[in-house]
Amino acid sequence: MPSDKGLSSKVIGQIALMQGVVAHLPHANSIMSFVSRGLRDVPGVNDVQYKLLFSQNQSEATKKEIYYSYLICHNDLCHASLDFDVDKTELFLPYVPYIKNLCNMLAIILEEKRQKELNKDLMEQLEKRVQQRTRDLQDEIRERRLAQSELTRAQNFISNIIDSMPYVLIGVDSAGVVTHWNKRSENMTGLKADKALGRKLGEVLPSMLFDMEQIVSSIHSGRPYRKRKVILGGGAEREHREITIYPLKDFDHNNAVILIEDVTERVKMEEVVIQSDKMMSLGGLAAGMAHEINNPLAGMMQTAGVMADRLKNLEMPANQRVADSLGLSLDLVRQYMEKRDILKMLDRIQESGKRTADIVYSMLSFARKSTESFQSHDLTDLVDKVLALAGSSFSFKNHLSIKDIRLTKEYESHLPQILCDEGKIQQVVLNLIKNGLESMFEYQELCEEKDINYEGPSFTIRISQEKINQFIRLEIHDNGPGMSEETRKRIFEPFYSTKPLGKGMGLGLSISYFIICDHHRGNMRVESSPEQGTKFIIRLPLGDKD
Amino acid sequence: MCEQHLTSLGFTDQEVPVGTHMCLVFTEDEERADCLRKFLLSGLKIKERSACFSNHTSENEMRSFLSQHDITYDDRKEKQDIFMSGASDVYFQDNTFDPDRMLGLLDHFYQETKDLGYSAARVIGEMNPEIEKVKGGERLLEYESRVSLMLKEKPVTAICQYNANLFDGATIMEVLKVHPQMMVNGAVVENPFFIEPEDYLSHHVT
Ligand SMILES: Nc1ncnc2c1ncn2[C@@H]1O[C@H](COP(=O)(O)OP(=O)(O)OP(=O)(O)O)[C@@H](O)[C@H]1O
Ligand SMILES: [Mg+2]
Repeated sequence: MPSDKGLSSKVIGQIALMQGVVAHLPHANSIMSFVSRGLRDVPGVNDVQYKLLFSQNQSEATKKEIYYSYLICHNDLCHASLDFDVDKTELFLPYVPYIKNLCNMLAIILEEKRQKELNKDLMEQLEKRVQQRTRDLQDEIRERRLAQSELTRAQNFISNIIDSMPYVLIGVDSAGVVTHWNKRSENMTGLKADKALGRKLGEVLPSMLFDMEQIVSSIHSGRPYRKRKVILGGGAEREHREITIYPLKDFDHNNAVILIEDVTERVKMEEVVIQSDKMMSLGGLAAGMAHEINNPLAGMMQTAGVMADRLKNLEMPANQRVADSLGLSLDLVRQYMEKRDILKMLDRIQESGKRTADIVYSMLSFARKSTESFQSHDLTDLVDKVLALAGSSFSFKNHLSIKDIRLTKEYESHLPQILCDEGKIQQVVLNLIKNGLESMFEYQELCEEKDINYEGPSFTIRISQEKINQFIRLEIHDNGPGMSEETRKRIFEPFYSTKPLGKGMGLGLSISYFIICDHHRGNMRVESSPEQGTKFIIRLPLGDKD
Repeated sequence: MCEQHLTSLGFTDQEVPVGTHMCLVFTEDEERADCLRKFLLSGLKIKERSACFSNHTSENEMRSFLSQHDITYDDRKEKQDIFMSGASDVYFQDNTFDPDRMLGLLDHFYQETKDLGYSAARVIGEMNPEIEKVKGGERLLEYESRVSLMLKEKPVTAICQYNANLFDGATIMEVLKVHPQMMVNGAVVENPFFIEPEDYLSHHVT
């Protein structure tokens, strides 16, 4: 239906409607392919090709002779070109304005599509990134959850370990505020963790108040610090504590862990070891000295005896003969001696010599003995014999004796016999009984003087078997004055005595110790504190003697 | 051409003559599905007999869609009010596109509908890009043109759906030329590209 200008309204309608349709096509390629196919219907047109300037799509038309080419550009951006192969220009030209119009329209639509595509790409990328991030996050969360539960497990595990440790373990930060407080801490202080956490260490553990400076300096220097402390516990026995401060450094926190260990038992053990070492060397020394002293002493005493003989024994023919040859009156000599107390002096030399000899004899007990003399004995029998002997052999002030004290015997029945030197073991028991009696009677007297209530001396003697370690255990427990820490540490030393000069040599316990520990391979210790009585514990091995 | 009476398509307020052969080019699947569902629903409502050939809308989907409108799909299927099948099964039997067989089917459907006493028949089908590969695929435009021709005598309201994402722009242009009506921006327009089947067939088919 050609119009006045030779235009077909159908073609113009077609061009117009193309603009409506292309908006619904998905992408530049389908749009351009749709349009170029549609424009072939324009009169005078032989063929229409398109080129997408953003794609590699090389139009066939470029090789042909092109009469008309229209660029589809939006602003400075060219999206495509339409290449018309026109054979009847006069028919085609009237449509050119409509085609140009279509091209303008296409430019807008293509730009819109491109933007949408870009946005879609962006959105897709974004979406992808979001998805990736979501996945990463989920992984991370999963990992973290896993790590968290691992961590919680580890933490539980660690706090279980910390709780089950036999030490007081306290965590503090650099300000001395408590961050950890284990079960032992609770037990020691009676303070539950929730009451201790967040508070200053000095408040919850006053005994550490003066260590705060050390803790802080340890945290700063990064050097651990250790010290022992003696604390008077509930009873009269001292408690020994070892305090260790371990500084902990992590990235931004400076903390410290404080370990408080009750080393009372360890200290006791150490004392025993020191004791035994000391005793063994002192014992050896004493025995050696005794040998060295013994000979000159014997010479001295012998000489003193001979002197006394020659001065006193006037009837001796040799004395008479020598006096006669000199014209000397033996009677006058004797009178002179008596007047000058020379004979008494000689007696004193004899006495002192005798006493020295006794000491030397005792000191010889430190000499190592073979176990040849060992025989099987019932320890209860040995102890009972000593008790009987003690009743008759010692008497104390005011004629007191073992019969004047309460005696409790706790002997386990069916005890095995032990291989031992009967005499030596009796000597030990005798020493202990003697010491106990001496101390208790003295204490009784003191209490009477000072009007202190005293229930009266009593001994408890226990004999039992340690099944696990194969030891026979003898405990001699008195309720005497006990002793101070300083005394307790030294009582096994030779010549250590608190008794007045001449009364005690200070050898009883040291010899006993030597007999038990060295000769019999047993052990011996004391538990005592002032006003708490004294308990000696002797353990003798059941096994074969070597 | 029979005496024209109008019918509603369901997806547009415009009424069109029974026997309209319309092309619907879509880019979004929801657009396709929405159009298809509404077309079938409106047919069932006004007691027209409907056929649907789609690879993408299943009977199940239709069943649940119709139930929202208090229509029991299976009852209506039983009554032969509606017939659904996969598009490929119908168009490409034996991997061949045979316009004659297809036109025979359409003819049969029209005849049967009339015999069963329905007021009218409607068909909606989605053409798939498979057509470009199967034997006889090149006869698509011939077929569409012959449909237009046939519908003049045997009016069945027919909608052909083409996915613009899957067909080349030039093909879309060609397809438009063989449909007298088209949907643009939600409106049914007389297609300016349309070439009368008699012309088209004499020019393009030898
Ligand atoms: N049962 C006890 N109660 C209190 N203190 C005791 C007891 N046993 C020993 N001691 C203390 O231990 C010290 C050493 O005792 P040890 O038996 O070694 O010497 P000693 O008794 O002083 O002299 P000796 O050599 O005559 O025994 C005693 O001086 C005394 O202070
Ligand atoms: Mg003594």
